[in-house]
Amino acid sequence: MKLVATAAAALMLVAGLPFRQAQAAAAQEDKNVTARIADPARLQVSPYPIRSSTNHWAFRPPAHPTVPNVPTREWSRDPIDQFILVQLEQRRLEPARQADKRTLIRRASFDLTGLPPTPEEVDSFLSDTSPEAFARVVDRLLKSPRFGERWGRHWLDVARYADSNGLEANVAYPNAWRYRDYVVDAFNNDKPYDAFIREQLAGDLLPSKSDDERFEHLIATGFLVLGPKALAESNPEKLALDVVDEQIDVTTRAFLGLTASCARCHDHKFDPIPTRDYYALAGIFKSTMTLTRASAQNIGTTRWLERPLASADQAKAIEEHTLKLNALVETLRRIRENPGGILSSKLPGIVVDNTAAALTGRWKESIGGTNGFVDKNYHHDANSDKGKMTARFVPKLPHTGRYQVLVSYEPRDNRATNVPVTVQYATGEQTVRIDQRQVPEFNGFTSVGEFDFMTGTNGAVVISNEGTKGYVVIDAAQFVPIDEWKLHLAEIEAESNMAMTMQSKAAGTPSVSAAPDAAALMAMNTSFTIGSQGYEQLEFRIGKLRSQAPPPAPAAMAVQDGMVANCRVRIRGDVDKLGPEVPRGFLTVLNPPSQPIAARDSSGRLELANWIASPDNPLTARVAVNRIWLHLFGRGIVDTPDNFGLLGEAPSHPELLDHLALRFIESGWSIKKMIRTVMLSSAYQMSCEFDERAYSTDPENRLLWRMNRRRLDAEALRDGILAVSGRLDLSTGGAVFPADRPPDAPPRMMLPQVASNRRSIYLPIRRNDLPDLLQVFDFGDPHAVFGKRHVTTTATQALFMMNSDFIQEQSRHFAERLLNEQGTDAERVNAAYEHAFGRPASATETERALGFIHSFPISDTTGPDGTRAFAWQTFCQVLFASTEFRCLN
Amino acid sequence: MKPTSNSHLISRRELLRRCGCGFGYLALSSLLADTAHRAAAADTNPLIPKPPHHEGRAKRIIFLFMHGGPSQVDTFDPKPQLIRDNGKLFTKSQPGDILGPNSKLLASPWEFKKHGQSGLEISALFPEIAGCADDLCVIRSMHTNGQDHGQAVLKLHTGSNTQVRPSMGSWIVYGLGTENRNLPGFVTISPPVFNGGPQNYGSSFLPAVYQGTPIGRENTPLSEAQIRHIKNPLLTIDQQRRQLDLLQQINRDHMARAQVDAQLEGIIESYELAFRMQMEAPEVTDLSSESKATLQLYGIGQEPTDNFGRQCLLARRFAQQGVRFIQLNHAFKWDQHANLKRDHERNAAEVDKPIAALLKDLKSHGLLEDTLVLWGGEFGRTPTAQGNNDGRDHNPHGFSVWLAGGGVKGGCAHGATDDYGYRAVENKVHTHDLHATILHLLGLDHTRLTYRYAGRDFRLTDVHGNVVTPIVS
Repeated sequence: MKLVATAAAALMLVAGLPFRQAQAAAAQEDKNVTARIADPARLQVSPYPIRSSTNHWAFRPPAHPTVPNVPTREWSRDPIDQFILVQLEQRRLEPARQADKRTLIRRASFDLTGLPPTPEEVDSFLSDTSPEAFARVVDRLLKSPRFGERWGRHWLDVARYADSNGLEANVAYPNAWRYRDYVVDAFNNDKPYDAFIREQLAGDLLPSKSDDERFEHLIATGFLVLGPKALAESNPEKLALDVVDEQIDVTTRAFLGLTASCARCHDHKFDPIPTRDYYALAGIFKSTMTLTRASAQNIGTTRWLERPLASADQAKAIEEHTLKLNALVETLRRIRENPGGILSSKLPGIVVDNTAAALTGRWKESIGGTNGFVDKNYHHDANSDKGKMTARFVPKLPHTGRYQVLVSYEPRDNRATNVPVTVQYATGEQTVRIDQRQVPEFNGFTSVGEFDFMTGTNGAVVISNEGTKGYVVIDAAQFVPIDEWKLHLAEIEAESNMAMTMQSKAAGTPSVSAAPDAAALMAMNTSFTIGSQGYEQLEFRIGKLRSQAPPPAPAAMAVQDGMVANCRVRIRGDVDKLGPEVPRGFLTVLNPPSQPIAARDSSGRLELANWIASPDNPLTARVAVNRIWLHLFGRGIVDTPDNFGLLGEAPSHPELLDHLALRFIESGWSIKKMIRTVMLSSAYQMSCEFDERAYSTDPENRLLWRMNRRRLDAEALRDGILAVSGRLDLSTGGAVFPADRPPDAPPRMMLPQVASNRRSIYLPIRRNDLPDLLQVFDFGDPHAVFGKRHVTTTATQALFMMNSDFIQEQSRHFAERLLNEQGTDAERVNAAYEHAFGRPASATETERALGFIHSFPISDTTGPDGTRAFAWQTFCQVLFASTEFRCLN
Repeated sequence: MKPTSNSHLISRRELLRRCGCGFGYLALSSLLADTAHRAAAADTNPLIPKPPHHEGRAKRIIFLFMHGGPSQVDTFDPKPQLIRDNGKLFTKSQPGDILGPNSKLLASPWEFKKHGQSGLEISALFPEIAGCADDLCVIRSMHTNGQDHGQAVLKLHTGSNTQVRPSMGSWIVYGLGTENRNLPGFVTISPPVFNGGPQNYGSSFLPAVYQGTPIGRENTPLSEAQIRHIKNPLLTIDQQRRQLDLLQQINRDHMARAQVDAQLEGIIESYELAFRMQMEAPEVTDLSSESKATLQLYGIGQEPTDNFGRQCLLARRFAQQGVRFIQLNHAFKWDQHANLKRDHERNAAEVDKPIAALLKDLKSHGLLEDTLVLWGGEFGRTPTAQGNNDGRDHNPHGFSVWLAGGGVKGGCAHGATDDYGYRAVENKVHTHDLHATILHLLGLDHTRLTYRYAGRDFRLTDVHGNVVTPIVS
């Protein structure tokens, strides 16, 4: 019954059913649901025939609507105007007058670039009296690189762009910015919207003519990777399906205005999206690789996929370098894990370790340099008690004959140079002095000479510290039968040659010398090793190799096809409750051309992208032009831009929406052309002026009897202030993290919010920790699709305008800018108005401003030199805070 | 309860009402005197007090968040069996549990005693809070989702550990508005920076006006904390008033040209509200007017209670001023995987006296009866040992929180965990149920407090939640 209660609550939420009815419906559903979901045939039928939902306007293809035959009027410049006018006339309303030129250019400049017009641009527009003057302004603005920064940001809202993962594992996305820059470029280059869709959903699967194009396509698929992920989730299947869900959500809402992810647990309760369709889509995304296991440095967390942006040659060089480096690192690791490094059991011949030697005197045990000695330790004489210590190594020899005798020691600069080593052989004894500062020539051993021995324990090597200066080290003595020794020497040579060959093959660069790496490779064979100097050299080599690394390939957040498989329904969305398998496919209500997807070796993303980007898709173009309309009028023709389903708002001008959608497709999906068309209509150029009668008929202005007065959004406000203060930094693009940030830096090594005067689109967008101003002024939550921002009015915003450091500082710069100009104070006030509002100050306004500035009470905290500037600063702040600056007429 | 998103504007009527209080709105009011738009401009200010769904027992809530996860078996959930089986292997873990087969039971190092007339059992960690036992209603059968801090913290604050949702405080202010327009309706003092950070007081898809206002942040001393931008660093109040007068003259000119525009009205009013808030908020946060006895009661000026004592006293002052949702955060300190004895003792010592003082002080001001106090962490801890036999792991399956005041039964223990205090077994209360209960006590029906977003209505409790009626007095 718990499930029933839950389902009832769900029905109340989505269908608005009263509780009893919902409970009854849920109980009935509960009886049916398992059987239905378990039965593929019945799965196709939705149990929610709540309305004839497939008839919903948005699911029918747009038909070419007849342009209304409104009595010809001068007002109409474009069919758009006819569609507006016919509805106004039905309500006996008049469109507002054309806005004046100053209003128009300010509106157009903010709308297209997010920045105010400069006084020069205003003057130039005013003096252009030709009928094409405004079209020229629009064209100039559309060509400005600032256009992509403005409209790219609109798209980033939809794409839930951020530079960090968000949720509770808020790790940095150091490569997200490439997607951001891709979007800015796409808008600046007027990339056809259908191509824009294909690249974001399936760029990795598209053909490309050049590396640059391939990189661009890869970067575009960052769209699918940017979402917030529950990276700490311990159930990998749940994590994978959650990522798939997020991808379905962003894809369907961004491009289709549908909330398909509702169908994860049950058939969509309003829109005709059965669970089956959801899992058809899920199969496509499940067959796509988005996640990867953590890197070695970051064990325990899941990471997202990043793909290198490298040419074929570059990729090869990187791969080879990586292989080589890994081999050395592996060698070093093995040596480190194996203290001493040399196992007596693996050495040829008979080895007597120091631990088996008969010692006299006070030898000290050591493991010194951790490496380059036999077995677990060695002894030294502590450079003391000279002449009082001996070590006698007695081998048990298998047969009588000639042996190569060697001794091992760990060489260092503090060693004795004349250590007496006495060999007691079959027929006598001989003392050889060895220099323990020299690196032993045979893997830690140095040769004492060849001697004949009897079988058994008759021979010995005795090392003493008699007459030495410096540390004497004893580690092991080795007796190798002479035949074996010859073989051994041959092996050493062969391996060394091979190593050198491999080395030069792999390196391809003559600067990499082979010798030390040969030693390293020899060390990989545990019967051989290197002395401590080799060990140090190995580290040195690794360091050097690292410094010689080919330039790392930049990486982009991107997807690739993974294990291609259909997805099984999860009953009620429960990861562990498997229902039937559903062939990969699209949303059936939108009449996709071919379904299911036949390809067995690809995910089906390309087919999905093609279907979404098709002129036959009833939603795609409508959703796109509605977003454009929203950003030019402050409200979409459909007021719920991310939801065109049954619970979305009905369009205010349905024919106009279809008309625009079809024109958009016919124009080759050109966003710039569509924007230009709309801006050159009379509808866009109306003033905001109030009309008593129209207001009482249509207070919300749904019929568009005037232009909506709009608030500057967070970015336009901030960038506008910086432009007016003269401090705006127009540098474009690039990483938000410093280049030296290690790629595997701990998650919390996010940058603190930095003081930057760059355009707001380039500020790091850290989920859960937005830049102050953006947070306060209604920036959308970047965890999810936010096609339409809230517009709120809060005291927090007012406090920000009154007291924040940012406003104070920019007011100071604005004041300095004014004071640096020649002229009278009255002229300065006028200039301030021109900069901030795009219009001159009236006489009253000038007088009032001067009165304020000249009589502003100066407090003790303001120095005598700063007094005048301080009053101006206070005045400039007023202009920034004013409703006229914060709103767009 | 379904405002459209553009309607968060201050109404003309509200504006006119405020003309009396000051700054030359008469000209404006005459401008607005026409009646054409009277019908359209309804009371749309989102923060004005709204009628509850039913008469609430509490008008406001103070949430004492013990970040990190205090151990239930060491605080409010005595387990004699755990003492008896100390050191034995724990055999009752289930698939998916974090506890492995070799976990050893660990008895609480603290003694439990009965307190007050009710005989509510509380451990020796909280001697002062124990003095208020008859006001407490302990829920011993809490359970939640999320083995990680991040997940469980978000679950507690937003009802979702997997998706971004509005915080509990923002839902409540959305539902009830605020009683004091000169202060934020939802404040959170020294909020956590990680484990969801601002998401824990964010408004997600609800309009930003409902989000929590942070005062300071985790681990900065409260004596240095303030609401962001509440004070102008350069201008005196007189200078700023003069500046604001010029601003409003310019704005009124603009308004006159626009004739009718609720949006412009809203902005104009927001500056006056901000100015008043600027006067009032520092007054509320300034503790210097409190008596020495009060400061001592809260342990202010002494260690280790000074910082949390300030938080608690601030909570009482905000409560007095009609702030709807007040959250105090005891910094991420309660995560004792090791050093349980030392660190739980330190943590308790920091909060015990201040919390007891808050309860007593609210009572003496007559505020406890309509102020709901909630104490708890994101989850509890295991009855088994970790970290050198002096620590406990996370445990979302069973833990304790307590409520006081605001319409809950005092001296009561609701629900139970198993013999070792590991898993809630009797009268289980999920986080969703806790949310439903809190809303209920505040006069809100959790199934009716909805907001339409992305094609459906959303609730704090999603499709879950039952009011825990037995604890309602």
